[in-house]
Amino acid sequence: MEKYWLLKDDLKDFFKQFPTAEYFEQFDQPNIRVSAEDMKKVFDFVKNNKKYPMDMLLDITAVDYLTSDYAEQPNLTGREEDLYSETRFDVVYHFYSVKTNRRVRIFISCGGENPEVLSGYKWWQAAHFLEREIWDMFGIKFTEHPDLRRVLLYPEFKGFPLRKDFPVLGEQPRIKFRNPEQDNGRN
Amino acid sequence: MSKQEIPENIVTTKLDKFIGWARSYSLWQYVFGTACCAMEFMSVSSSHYDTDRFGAAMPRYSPRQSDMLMVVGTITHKNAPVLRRVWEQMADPKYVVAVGACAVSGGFYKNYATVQGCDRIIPVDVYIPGCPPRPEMILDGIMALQEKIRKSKQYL
Repeated sequence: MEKYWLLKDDLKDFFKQFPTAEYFEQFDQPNIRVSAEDMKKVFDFVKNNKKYPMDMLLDITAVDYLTSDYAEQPNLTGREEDLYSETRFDVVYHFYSVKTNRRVRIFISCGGENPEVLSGYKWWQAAHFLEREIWDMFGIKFTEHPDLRRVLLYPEFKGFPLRKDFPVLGEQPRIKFRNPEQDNGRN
Repeated sequence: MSKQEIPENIVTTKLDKFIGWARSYSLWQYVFGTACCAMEFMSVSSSHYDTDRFGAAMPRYSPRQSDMLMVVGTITHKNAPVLRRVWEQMADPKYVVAVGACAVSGGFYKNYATVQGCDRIIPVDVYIPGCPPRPEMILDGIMALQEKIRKSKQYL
């Protein structure tokens, strides 16, 4: 593991710079959670670090922590608070340092009615399409992104399908459907 | 008319039957391959299983020149207008074969992105189930379509 991940000892400088950042481990892999206000400085620090310059952005993904039965039972008590909770989503950045062969994973939580985080495009150009995909699926807005549009779904699609409150069969057809039971003729 | 008046080398039949026979053995196909079933279809159309034996050997990649639309794979809502347009561009007589579970009913993709069966967009003549269907099943489907063409009224 120490060959591939930045361990707590390697991250001493980081935690000195960002004392509010939180360190935790999952599956023997180190993770860092930072607050949204620090993001600009975190990106600067991670990219321009002398010892472990993270010059490659491997992946960006997001997690929705709303309980997964929301779409079936939206009327249970306390659901409204969950829906607009400030920690509903996690945006997860995976960075890689080509020179030293080390990886680091950074979590940023966001939420509220219009979840927003800072775009990493200025630091890593690979963020362009990855952030567009997060916007497409989760509806998390990336501020200062140059061209935030849907990338996989069609532009007239309403809602964000990977959110837990999106219905399973939330179909939005682009053309009028025929009824196969009635229209057995050639139309 | 007695038998002696017709020479031996002439066969009589009905016009419908004759046209149906001709049409059933010259099915030029438009392969609308969108997913993994298209891989299976490659092996069906090439020499090992050989749809040429049934007169369906000419993939035309132009809807104007084809008689049979083969929907091979998952149809998404994003792609649905394209499929509808391809079908509308084909000249009559045209036939549609849905190959694979996804084209027949949406398969196991019961979600926001997939059309639950391509018969919600275009009328389908033959359904071939399977995930993916075996080559023999696709050949069986083509033979079933030929049978259907031969038995139906032919419009000119």
